[in-house]
Order: sequence, then C-alpha cells, then structure tokens
Amino acid sequence: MRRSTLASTGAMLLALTTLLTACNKDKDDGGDDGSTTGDDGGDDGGDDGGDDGGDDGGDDGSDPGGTFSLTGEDELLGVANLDDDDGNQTHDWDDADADDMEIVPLGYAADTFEELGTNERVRVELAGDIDSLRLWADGGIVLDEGTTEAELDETVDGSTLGIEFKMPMATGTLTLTYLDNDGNEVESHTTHLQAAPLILNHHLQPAEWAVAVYTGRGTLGNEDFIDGFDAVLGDAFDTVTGASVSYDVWIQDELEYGTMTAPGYEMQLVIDSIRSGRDQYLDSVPEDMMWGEDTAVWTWGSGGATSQDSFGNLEVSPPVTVDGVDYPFGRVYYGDTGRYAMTDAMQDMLDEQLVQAPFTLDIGWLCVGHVDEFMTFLPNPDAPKGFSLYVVDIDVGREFLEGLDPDTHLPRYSSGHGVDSIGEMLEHSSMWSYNDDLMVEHIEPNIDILKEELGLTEADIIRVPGVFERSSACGGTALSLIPGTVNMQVHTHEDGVNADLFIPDPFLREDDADLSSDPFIAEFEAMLPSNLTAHWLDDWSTYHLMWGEVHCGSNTRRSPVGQWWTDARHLMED
Amino acid sequence: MRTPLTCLVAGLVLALAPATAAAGPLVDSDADWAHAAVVSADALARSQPRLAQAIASDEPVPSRSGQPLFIDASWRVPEAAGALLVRIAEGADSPAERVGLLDALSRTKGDWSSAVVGLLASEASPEVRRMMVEILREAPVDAARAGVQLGLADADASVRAAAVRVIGNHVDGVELGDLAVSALSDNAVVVRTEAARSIGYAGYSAGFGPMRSLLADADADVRFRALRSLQKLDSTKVVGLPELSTLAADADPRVAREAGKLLGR
Repeated sequence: MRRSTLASTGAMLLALTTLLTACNKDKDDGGDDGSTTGDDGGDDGGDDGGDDGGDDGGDDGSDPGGTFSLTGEDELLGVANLDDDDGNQTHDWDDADADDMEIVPLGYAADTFEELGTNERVRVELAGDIDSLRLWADGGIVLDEGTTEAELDETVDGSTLGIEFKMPMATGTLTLTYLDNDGNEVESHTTHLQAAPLILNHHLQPAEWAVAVYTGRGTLGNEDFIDGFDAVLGDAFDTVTGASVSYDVWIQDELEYGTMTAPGYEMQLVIDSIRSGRDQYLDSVPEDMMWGEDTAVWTWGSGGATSQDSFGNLEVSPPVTVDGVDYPFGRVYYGDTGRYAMTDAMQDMLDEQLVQAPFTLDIGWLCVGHVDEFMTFLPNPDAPKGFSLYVVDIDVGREFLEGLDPDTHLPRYSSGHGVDSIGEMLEHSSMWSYNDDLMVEHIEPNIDILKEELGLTEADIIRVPGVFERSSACGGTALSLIPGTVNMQVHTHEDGVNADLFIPDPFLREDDADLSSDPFIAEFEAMLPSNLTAHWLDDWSTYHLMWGEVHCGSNTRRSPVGQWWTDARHLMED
Repeated sequence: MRTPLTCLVAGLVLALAPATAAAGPLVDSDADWAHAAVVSADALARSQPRLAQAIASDEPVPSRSGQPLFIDASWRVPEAAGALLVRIAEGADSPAERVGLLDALSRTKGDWSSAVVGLLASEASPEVRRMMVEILREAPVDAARAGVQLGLADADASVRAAAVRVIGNHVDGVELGDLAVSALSDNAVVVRTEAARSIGYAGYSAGFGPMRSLLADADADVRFRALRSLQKLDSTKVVGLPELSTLAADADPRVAREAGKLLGR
C-alpha cells in the first residue's frame, strides 16, 4: 500500500480515529491505577500504564461491571477497496481478506475490550450504505449488509477492528454502545464513515505515465505517433500492441483515470467504459494492464453504448471559483446531444461524487460527439486563473486562412479531404456557411456555458483557428478539417505548470517533412505561454482520418493533488 | 478479384433488375456503367493486383464512433473506383461496411457517380442508400440531380434528408435549389429542416419566398432553421419581414432570440 505524503503518519491517523477507553473498573478508584485499556496514545493524562494488558484481576466473572466508557473521534475516512493486491483478477472487496491494506483501523488498542466484565458487551451497529461497508474484527467480518448489528465481548482484539469501503463516496455510521451487566445502555458513540470521492483528473495535475496503442508500420501504422511520445516521455510511456486489441486505437475513450485518497491512503481508479464489452477491442486493457495493487478498475453502467459513453466525452476543468464557491478539484463536464448522453449509471455516479459538480455541453453537432473535439484547458501561469481555455473558433480560422497564400498546395488535404489548396478551402462557400452556423449555434453557446459554469471571462479564453467539414458518412455532422489542434494530450510536469503538449500535426503545408514551413504550427505556438512545449505528432491516417486526434488515441495517469477532506467539505454538505 | 469478370457483370445487371424494371429507360445506361465498373476493376487487377486484392478483401477499421472505414491512402486514386463499385454492388459486406466503402469511393476522384445513382435505385438498405446519396455532393451536377431526385422519392426520411443535404454541400448547389424547394413541404421535420438549411447554404435566392412559409411551421427546429437561412439569402430583406414580431415571442427560446436579434437591427 502506498502511503500518501499528505497523510503523514499512521500515528496521526490513529490519533484522529475513534477511540474507546475502558476506565478503571473500580468505581472507587480514580482511574489511575493502570488498569485501563489504553488507547495507545496515552493522551488521557492518567493512563500511562494502561497498556499493560489491563489484567488486574477484574475479569473474574464476578465483577458487577458498569464502568466501561466510550470516547473517540467523529469520523473515519478510507478508500473504496476495488484494487487487486494479489493479482487474482478479483476486486479485493470480493476477496474479503482481513489483512487487506485498505481496511481502515478504528484505532483501538489490542486490549481495549479486555476490560469489559464477563456479562458486559459493546453493541456495534452499522448504518448507511451498508452494501458498501464492512466492520472487521478478529480476522472476520462482524457487520455487513447481511448483519448490521452485533455485540463484542472482552475476547475481541481491539486492534483488529477496521472498516472496509466498497464504493467511492460510500457513507454510513458505526455506533458503539456500551451495555452493562443487565444489558442497559450506558453510553454510546457514533463515528461517521466516509469513503473518498472518486476525483477525476484535470490538466494541471502532474502526469505520471501515458499510454497509446501501437499499430505498427505501413499505411495504417502509427510508428511516428508512437515515436513522438516515446522520444519525450521515455519510461513514462507504454504501448498496447494493436493486434491484441483488434487495432482499436481509441484508448482515451476506453478508460478514464481518477483517484481516491484519504489520510494515509491513495488509490488510482480506472473507469472502464461500456463502449467495448465482452473482451472486445480495448475492453480488457484496464483489467489486464492497469488493475493491481493500488489501482482499482470499475465499470458503471451496462448494455448498449453510444459514442457519448466514450471518455473523450468526459473531461475536467482546472480548479475554479464560481460565484464565490471554490471547486478545488475543478468541475467535470461531458457532452450531451439532447438525444444521447452517457449511460445513466455513469451520470449518477459523477453526480454523487459532489466535489466536481458536473455540467454538460452541447455536442450534438459533432460527428463523434465528444467534448475533447473542440476545446481543452492548458496550464498558463500568465493567465488570470493560472490556466487558459483553448477553444476552436471558426472566425479566427477563416481570418487565419485568409492571411495565407491561397496557392499553397496541401497534399494531405488533397488526398484525405479532396481539398487541394488554401484557396480551394476558402472558396468553399457552403462549407463556410455551415461553419458559421456551427460557431453561432453551437460553439459560442458552449463558450457561454463554460463562462457561466466555470466563472470564466474572455481573458481566460484563447481562441484557436479551426474549420470543420460536414461529414457525409456521419449524417452531415461535423468533423475537424484542419486537425483538431485542441484535441491534444497534456503531459504536465510535477510542478503543475510546465507541460509537454502532444498535438496533432495540421499538415497545412506543401512539404510534409518541413514543420517549420507550416503557418498553422507557427500561429499556434505563438499562442502558447513559455511553460508549454509543443510536440507535433503525425496522427493523420490512423487518427485524423478515422475521426479522432492525439487525445483520442492516448491516455494519461496523473498524481492526485489536494485533500478533499479539508479543501472540499463545503461541496459535500447538504 | 474474387469473381470472374463475366460473373460480376451478370451479377451487377441482375442486382439492378428490380430498378430497371421500374425505371425502364435506364436499362441500357445502367448496364453501361456496370460493365464499365467491372472492366475497370479487371484492369486494376491486371495492372495493380495487390491494390485490387486489397480493395476486394480488406477489412475495415472502426472510426472513433465505430463506423467501419477504409482509409488506406493507396485507394484514393481514380482507378480504384471500379473495384470499389464491384465490391459495393456485390453486397457481401454489412450495410455499415458498405457505407465505409462508399466513403472510400467518394475519395477516389474516379468516375463513379452514374454507377452510384444506378445502384441507388436497387439498394435495399436505407443506411446504404443514405450514403449513396450523401456522396453525390462530390458528383457532377447532372448526376447529383438524378441522385437527389431519386433520394427525395425515397420512403425513408433519412435518405430524403441526405438528398437535400447534397444541395447544400454541392459546389454547384444553386443549380439544384429547385429540388430543395420541393422538399420544404416534406412531412418529415428533418427533411424540411435540411431543405431550409441547404437553400441557405446554396444561396438559392429564389427559395426566399417558399422558405418564408416555414416561419409558421409547427416545428421549432424548422422555424429556427428557416429564419437562419433566410438571413443567408438576403440579410436586409429578412429584417423587414412582418413575421418577426410574432417570432420574437416564440415559445422556443432560440427562435425568439434570433427574431429579437433581427428586430433590434
């Protein structure tokens, strides 16, 4: 189990965790005789000798009891136990292993319960999301959805008591009630149980690792694309062999990385999309390549998928403040066509995480229908909020093209799009009418939504030249004509500011090999702040002509930042 | 080649039988294009056997949205058109794959338009018919007109919508504008909407009057699209339309906003 640096030490956790103290069983004693079951911290001022086992002769069966008391903290935090520590391709929750590292100790000393009289008990009750909560003791499950109440006696080893969470955001309570010899309730203490929310990643988080599908050499190969990543990222980049996944290159769409953290705990969670089921295409990659110790895999939803169930259609803004409300982990956004959106189970799960307050954008105008096709967020220390929204703008695109030599021959576009030159692109009046409609009816309204939901102003936005074509194979909806520059992979450095950008090569030039002659590349690089380094990748055949770009064909694992239990409590309150 | 030349010719002509029976006068020309396609495919098999074999048997790759596509750049040559037409006409691939083949065909810049119009008449799959019509945006205007006419007569609304889209996407769309006007009274909302859009994109100014009637259409999408397209035809004239005051109070916020914007000019 990786221990989070945020969490500091186990001792700190224990100190904050619910504690139960058995007091001196002798009513006439002030409790300073060293007979208490210590709480291992000795912070009660009088129990410095209390960890001696507490076997001061009180448990002889004849003691009248009635002096056991409860103290403790109010809350216990943990993470959903959906990883696979032993690599047996089963969720650890289902393995039900008492030694699992994600079982959160309640912090009792081993001898805590020895101080109970023979007929005294501590009743334990579990409430809340009981299908996602378990109480462990003495190597066995004491409470779960089948048994929500039990009694503990003096034989229980207090140090073995722990809570296990199954799902993110599972909540509940554990109530301990001290019962005297006659079964009367003497006192009780309730601890709130809270599993970490699943927090999806934004582009200001450090990237740890990236992955893409390698389709080999040849006409449909992507060797240059893969080499481009590899040259920059080295060991922080891996590939999936194309033949093993039926050459399904859309790894952005298959899985989404998020994280779950709690004091002392840190776990990656890979959401496995329903887009390709039954071990087809990329379906098994999350389980086979990523699932393991401290990396969980889970699928929300089932059945027939639409394109909106792909995770190029699920992104997160950087941290924002909107109308005075801080969103320290950003806000989730995804596309909704009006007729189709991602499966209800995914939408419900995203809503339930609370801290990233999802909102939707209009993507019904796009052929594929993913939010990554027309916008992205990039770290920008020069910008008012520390980031900029880069969004496609048709008017900027036309103005840019009008400034170029119309006779510039475009070999890639001639072959791939039937457009031979800049001039021919500009002369296509019906295409521009269509693009004008896209800008007025869809892109600008989406920008308005982003301004409202994220508290952005024009100063936070950089408008990128773009042009769409109306796809015949896609029922007349939009596909990027100039490769979707914003559809890039952002590999942020540990400082959360500097980043390597892997961007689709626009090929808006005559000489394929001479990137320095490409006016689009020059234009876009001039739009980037100095903290960002552009790497232009040839994604033309394998991705662009297949209706996707670099972001669609890659995926990134990122490090969690921040502490939701201190930074985002205000978003979790009713 | 998967099938001997004579068998393919026979198969193609047979495939056209229902259509030719209905269309009568087209029999000879259909046979001409079918024969031409097979001869072209046969020539490719002799001159570039690897390419011919690839076109005959390659499997598609799914696009990002799952649409099977054939994007091998070596297919994007005029001489590939015949072989592609033969594979499409054989009908052994699934409808979605044949859509992918038609997409590849449209990128060859070869002579395929009359063949596609011929195949359209006998195609059973609406999905394939829709794509056959869609790609006619790249065809010479005469072939496009013939295909759009067939498409507008189709029982499936998605095919009729594709037919009017051709008008809006075609470089000579203005010459097809009369066909878009005829679709303004289609009983399907999607067709009326696309007809209005295409009249605007094509710049078919004679469509201004007929399209104006759509401002009173029962469907808000149609009213909105008509209002937007009228502006493309004559941005001055549209400001003076008396319908604007009613539309400014339209129940649909997009329509009301658009009309209000025009009234404010």
